[in-house]
Amino acid sequence: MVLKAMPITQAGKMDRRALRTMDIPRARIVEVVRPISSCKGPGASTRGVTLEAIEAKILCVWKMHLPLIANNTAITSTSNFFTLGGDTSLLSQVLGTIRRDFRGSLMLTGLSNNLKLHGMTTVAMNKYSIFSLAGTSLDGIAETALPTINQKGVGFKDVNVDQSLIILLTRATGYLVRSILANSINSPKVGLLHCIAIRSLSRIASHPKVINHGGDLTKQYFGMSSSDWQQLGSSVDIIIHAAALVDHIRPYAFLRTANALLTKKMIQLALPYHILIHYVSAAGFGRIVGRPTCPEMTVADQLPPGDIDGYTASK
Amino acid sequence: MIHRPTLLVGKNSPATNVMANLLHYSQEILAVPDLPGVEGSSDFISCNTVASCIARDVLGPTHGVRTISFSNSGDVRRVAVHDLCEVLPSQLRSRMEKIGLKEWLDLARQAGTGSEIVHIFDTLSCPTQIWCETTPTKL
Repeated sequence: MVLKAMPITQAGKMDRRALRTMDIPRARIVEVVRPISSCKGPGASTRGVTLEAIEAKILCVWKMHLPLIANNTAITSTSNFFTLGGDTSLLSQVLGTIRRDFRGSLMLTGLSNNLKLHGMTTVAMNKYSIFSLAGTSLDGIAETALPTINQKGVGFKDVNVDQSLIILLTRATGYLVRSILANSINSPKVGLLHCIAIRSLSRIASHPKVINHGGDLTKQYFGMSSSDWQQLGSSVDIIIHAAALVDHIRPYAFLRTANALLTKKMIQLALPYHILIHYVSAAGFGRIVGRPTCPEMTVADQLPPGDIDGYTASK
Repeated sequence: MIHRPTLLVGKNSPATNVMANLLHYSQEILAVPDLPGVEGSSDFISCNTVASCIARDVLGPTHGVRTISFSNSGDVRRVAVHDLCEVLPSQLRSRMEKIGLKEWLDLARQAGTGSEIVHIFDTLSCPTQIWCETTPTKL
């Protein structure tokens, strides 16, 4: 059976005793078939190296859709489809083949949450979609823990009402941020806007109040040098952080760096100077709080359930 | 401050944006899919309204701000999933018909929707609850 959450002890560890005594109706128990190579046991030392029969068949499906890469790479049971160069379009083609040859009821989310060869084999072999397998569950407490701050705080940065503001913006090429820019750039309160993580500087219009910084969401400090990054921290008054990879198919693990870790990096920059951050999250959290509408309050105590999409979990 | 707008829908929405695909291909094929297993509704609000609210919060008085506050953008126009054609341009609405999901997907596929989005729509044939998500739209 799939639990919403594992019982934990007061120390925060998994409560095995509570698990053993849990009353589970027999009808809710789902038999799960897993490839031998993904199970611990006498052959654990060879885990990831030796492919068993069905994994080899799934690998043939990969090779069919990723011929150039899969035929020239040593693939193990822990190889990841996206890391090998697959994308959502190719994954969709893989789904078509697996549906035809293995399990007709398989959904795309079943594959996108199980991108390793043994995980994909598991969902191909099983009648039920099992999102929580193949390492897709996440440690919400660790993931949302605040980053360590090495710098000594320099005190609150109170923004004067009459002051000309220096604002740091991420993802200035996205719809919403472009619109925020249009709504604020002519205000006399805005002195300077630093737009960071711009992938293509030639595509962005110049403005006397705007400094554009090239960069990328997949890189540390959004592609800036450490010194430039720290310099920004010491000069900006307000941060508007909206940058994110928007993808409702890829799992959390793939969106983690851009969406979760860079947000932590932003907090790390802002904390020593107590810079006010405006973080553009997502209203999809309504699903987590289990109400028709998401209340205007924290959802910090609501960890993302296993079946939520990676994008919403990352926000 | 944490702002919670929702999925953005517009001309340059990514190919994997489900709502954008639903609205775009419904306009293309002049039909909306019947989704009997799906319950819930979405809020629609213009992108500019959300942006101007955020800009107002950013440029507003921040002296003494020490706590986290939250701002949800929505509740401007709530549309039930079964009435999604209501958010399409008015000249199209009267010509819209509701057809089965499978037929809709076949037509959408012919009109050019990607196979991955077709597979995502497959999940809507199962009982699904859509919570009220605000959807700034430029349609």
